[in-house]
Amino acid sequence: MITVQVQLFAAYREAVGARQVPFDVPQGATVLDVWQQLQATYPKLRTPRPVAAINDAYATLDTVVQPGDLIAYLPPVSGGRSLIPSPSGEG
Amino acid sequence: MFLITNEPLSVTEVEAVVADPGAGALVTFTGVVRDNNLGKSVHYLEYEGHPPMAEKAMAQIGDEVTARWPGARVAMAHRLGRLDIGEASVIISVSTPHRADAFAACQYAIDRLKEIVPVWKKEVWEGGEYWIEGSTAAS
Repeated sequence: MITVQVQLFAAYREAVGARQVPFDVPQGATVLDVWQQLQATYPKLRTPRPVAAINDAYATLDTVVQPGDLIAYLPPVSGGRSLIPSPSGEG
Repeated sequence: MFLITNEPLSVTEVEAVVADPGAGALVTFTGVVRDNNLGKSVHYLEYEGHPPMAEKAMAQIGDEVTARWPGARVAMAHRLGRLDIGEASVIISVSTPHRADAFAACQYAIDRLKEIVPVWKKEVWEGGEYWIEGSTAAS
């Protein structure tokens, strides 16, 4: 097992009851695996595929996490469709 | 200036950042807390954000603006925490040589901010509260 730090915001933070929690996951776990294990512990987290970041940079859900990584899960932002910046800059 | 802060915002301070002797126009957008949304009376808003990623996303919007409107200068500040009705949650100032570009660039910047900057708001009303997500946001 490895330990990562999970960071949660807004509705996700309230579902878990903490802004940041250490979390143990198996070696080789992906960002999505971490989320699904969180969901098992905190059933109020219902989003199937959240937007995520590792160490303050957006990361895809299939990224393998490393010990000590700061994994942030980000709810959809207030006015927008997607948190992923579009390369063309088109809104 | 691409700033996330818990302190009250100042239009004067944000505008000072984009002051430019070559600019003929300076447009500032101020987003303020409204006392209603989707027919509900709002008591106050709670803003929460991911400050490092939010500042990075705002800087990216600044780059997009200067790529589209050469010569533009942009500054933005977003406040987090509890905000009461009428308080400013976000200020964006843009200066450009001519006014049409300043209006267009400022509108672009606030639209993009609402799309990509990781800041969330919770409406608190009598007997309830709700995190605004996606298309439920009326502003």
